[in-house]
Amino acid sequence: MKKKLLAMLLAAATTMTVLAGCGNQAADGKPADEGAATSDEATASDKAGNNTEEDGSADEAEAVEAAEFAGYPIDTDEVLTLWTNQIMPSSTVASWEESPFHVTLAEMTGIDIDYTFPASGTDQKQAFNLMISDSNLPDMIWYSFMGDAESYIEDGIIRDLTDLLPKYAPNYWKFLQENPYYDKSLKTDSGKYYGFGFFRESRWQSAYHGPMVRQDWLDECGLPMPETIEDWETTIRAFNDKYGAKFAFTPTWRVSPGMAGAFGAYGTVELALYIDDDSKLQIAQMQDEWKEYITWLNKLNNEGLLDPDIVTLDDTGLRTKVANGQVGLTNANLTGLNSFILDAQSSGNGANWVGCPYPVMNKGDKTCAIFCEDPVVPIVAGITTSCPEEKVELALRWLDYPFSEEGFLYWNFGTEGVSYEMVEGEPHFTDLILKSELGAAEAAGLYTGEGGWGCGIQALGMVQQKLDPAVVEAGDAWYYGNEDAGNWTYPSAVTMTPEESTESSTIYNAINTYVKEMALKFITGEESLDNYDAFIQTLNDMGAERMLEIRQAAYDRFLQR
Amino acid sequence: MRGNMTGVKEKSLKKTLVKDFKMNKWKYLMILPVIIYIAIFAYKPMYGILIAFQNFRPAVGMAGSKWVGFEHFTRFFSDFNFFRILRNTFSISICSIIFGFPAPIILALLINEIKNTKFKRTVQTVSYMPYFVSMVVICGLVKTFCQSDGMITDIVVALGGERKNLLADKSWFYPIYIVSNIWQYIGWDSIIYLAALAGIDQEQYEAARVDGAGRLRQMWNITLPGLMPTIIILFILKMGGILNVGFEKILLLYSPTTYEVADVISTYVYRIGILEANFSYSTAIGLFNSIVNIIFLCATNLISKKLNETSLF
Repeated sequence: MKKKLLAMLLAAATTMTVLAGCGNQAADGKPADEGAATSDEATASDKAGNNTEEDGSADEAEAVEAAEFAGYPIDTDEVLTLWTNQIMPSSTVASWEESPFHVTLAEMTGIDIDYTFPASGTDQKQAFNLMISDSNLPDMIWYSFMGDAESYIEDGIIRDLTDLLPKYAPNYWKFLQENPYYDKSLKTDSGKYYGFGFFRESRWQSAYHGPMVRQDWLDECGLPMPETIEDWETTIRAFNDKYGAKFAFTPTWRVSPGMAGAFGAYGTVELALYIDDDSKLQIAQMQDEWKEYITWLNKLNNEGLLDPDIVTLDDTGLRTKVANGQVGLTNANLTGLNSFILDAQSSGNGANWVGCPYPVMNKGDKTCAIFCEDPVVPIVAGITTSCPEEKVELALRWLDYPFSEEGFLYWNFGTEGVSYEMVEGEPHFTDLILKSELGAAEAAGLYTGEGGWGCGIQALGMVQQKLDPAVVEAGDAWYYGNEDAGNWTYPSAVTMTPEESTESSTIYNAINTYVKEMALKFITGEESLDNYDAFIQTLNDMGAERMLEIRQAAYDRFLQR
Repeated sequence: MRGNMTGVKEKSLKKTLVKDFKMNKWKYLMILPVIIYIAIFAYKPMYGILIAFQNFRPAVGMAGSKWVGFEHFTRFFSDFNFFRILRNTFSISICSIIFGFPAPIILALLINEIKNTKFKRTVQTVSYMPYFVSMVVICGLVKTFCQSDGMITDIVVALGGERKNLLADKSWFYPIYIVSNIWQYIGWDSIIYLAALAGIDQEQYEAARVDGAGRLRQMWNITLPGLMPTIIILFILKMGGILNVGFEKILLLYSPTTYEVADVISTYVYRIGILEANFSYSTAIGLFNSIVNIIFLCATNLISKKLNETSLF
C-alpha cells in the first residue's frame, strides 16, 4: 500500500515537472541536463533562423510569413494530439511522461503533445481503422498512408499540405527539394503532398541483410574469404567434412535475393519484382538466370550440403542452428549477426562470425543484386481534418522540427552533453548510451527518437555507433562497391488506384503462393527442374502479364511525378 | 413444456401468454440479461455482414462505402487456388472428425472403467493438462520435434523411416496436425462425456451383471446408449463448424512446401483479407463459410432426427 502511494506521488511529481517544463521556464526540480538544453535552444533558434532566411530569400511572399517565425521553442499554450505507433517510449519506462526523449522534446519545441500509442501487441492496421471510423480524430496521425494517400485525402482523413509545406515547414521542404527521389515518394500521382516521411541518410542502412561466415573455421581449414560461387562450394564442402555443418539460410526472408546476384538473378523463394535497366518491371522467377541459381541450390541439396530444414527455418531456428555449430556460412540480417556474436561470447565456443562479401561468378565480377530496401519508409505523419485551422501551423512546425539541424541531432543523438558529445564536428554517443546496462539500443530508445522507424532523417552514424564493429564491417562489405546493385527494388511509394490494387493483389498473392511452393520444391528436388517451363506457363496462366502491366503503369506514373 | 402447451390449446394465444408470463415472471426476469446480451452482441452486429457487398472503407463508414454486389464472392470463387483451399479445408476437417471425434469418447470410457479413484483423478488431470498450453508453444514444440534432428524424426528413423524434416513433407502434415490435436484436446473433450457417464443409472449395471453380462457387454449395451444423446449433440455441433479448422495451428505449422495440402480458407483469408486490411473481402468469405456451416449443421440435425430422434432443434 505504502509503495503504491509513493509511486503515485512520484508520478504526480513527474507530471508536474513536465507541465512546468512545458511552460518553458527553467523548472527548479529538473536534473542537470536543463542547462545543456537551454544552451542548445539558443543555438537552435540561430540555426532555425538561418534556415528560414534562406527560404525567405527564395520567395518574397513566403518571406513575410516565415519571418514571423522566431524559431524553437515556440511560445504557445496549445496542445497537439498525436496518434502514433512510432517514437514509442522505451519499454523501460511506464509512460512517455517518464521518457527523457519525450519530456525534453516538449521543452525543445515548446509544444506540448498529447500522445496516443496503440497498445503494444495489437494489430496496428486494426487499431488505425478503428480510430478513423470515429469522426473525432487526433490532430496528427502517424501511419502508413503511403500507397493510398489520395484516398485518405478524398475520404477527409488527412489534409492536403501542398500549399502549406513551403510556408510552415521550410526545413522539410528544403530537404525534399534537395532530394528528388524522396520528393517523388512523398507526393501522390497528382502531385499532392500529404505528410512528413522518414528517411534513411544512406542506403547503407537499407542493405542490412547479406552473407556471413565463421572466420575461425576458415582459418582452421586454411581457406580464404570466399568470393566466387566456386569458393562458396569449396567452403561449404570443407565445413561439412570437418564440422558436419551444412549450408542454411532463411529462404523466405522478405525479398532477400540471397546469392542470386552472382548468377544475374534477383530473387530466391519469395516472389521478387525487379526493375531492369530499361525501367521495366520483371518477375525474378521468370528469368533463365534464376533457374541457374536454383539449379545450383538443388545441386547443393543433392550432395547433402544444404540443410534439409531450410524449408521451415525462421530467424530463431537459424540462430539455434548457428549456436549449435551446425552452420558455418549463411545469409542473415545485421541483427542476426549481432546475436550470433553475442551467443558465441556467452557460450565461449570460439565462433567468430564476420560479414562476407556477396558471391560472384568469376573473380572480379560484380553482383547484380544485393538486399537493399527502399530508403523511404511508408510510414508518414499526416495532419488530420479534425485539426482546427489555427493549430495547423503549429502542427507543421512541430513536424518540421526533426528536419532542422538541431532537430536532426536531437532526434538521432538526444541531448548534447548527456547522450552525445561533439567530437571533431561529429556527434558521438556518450557512455550513457554505449555502456548502458540496458544495451545501446534500449538506452538510445530512452534519449533519442530513433526507436524503430522514428521520424525525420535517420543518421548513418547513429545506426553504426550502436552496432558491434564487426557488424558495421559486414554492412560495409555488403554495400560499398555494390551501391548500384541495390537499385533493383520496386519503390514503396508507387501508388495504384484501389481498383488496380485489388486486381493486382489478387494475382500477386496467388502467384506468390505458387512461386514459394515451387521454388522450394525445385530446391529440394521434389519437383524436377525439367518442369521449369511448365512452371513459367502456369505463372502466365495465373495472370503474371496482367499484374506486371498494372504495376508498370503505376511505376511509370511514379516516375512522372 | 410441450405438455403444458397442448393442455391449454383451447384458450386464445394472448391469454395463454399472459398467464404464462404471470406464472413464470421471475424466470423471465432471469433470462432477460441473456436476451439483451444476445441481441446486442450477436444480432446487432449482424448488419455488418452487409459490408460483404460493399467496398468498405473504414474512413467513410458503411454509409459512404460503394455497393459492389457479389463482386467479392466472384473474386473468391474465381481465385486460382479456390478449389485447392476448399478441398484442403474439407479434408482437414473431415479427417479431424473421423480420428479426433471418437478419441475423447474412448478415453472417457476407459477412465470410467478405472476403479481406483486416485489413479482415475491423476489420469484425468494429466490428460487435460496440454489443453492449457498456448498454441504457439505447442507448435514450437512440434516444429522442433519434427526437424531433421528432432525427437519424433528420430523415432521415425528408428522405425525404418527416412531422415528428413517431417513438416516439410506434405504426406506427413495431416498425421502431425491430427495427432497433436488429439493429444492436446483429448482430456479436455472427455470431461463432458465423463459428466454424462456419471448420470447413467447404476442399477442398470447391476441388473446386467446379474444377467451375466461381462464388462464389454455392459459398455456396449448400457454405457454407450447412455452416452448417445451427448455424442450426437456434440457431433451435430462439430458438423456445424466443418469449415472452421484450427487456423492458428495451421498458420504456425505450414510452409510453402506443404501449402498444397495445408492451405485452407482461413489461412487464405488471413493472408489476403487481414494482412491487407481488406475487410469486405474477408467478410464475404466469412459469410460463405457461415452458410456452408449452417447447411451442414441443418443436414446433420435432420438426419439425426430421422434416424434416432435426437436433435438440436
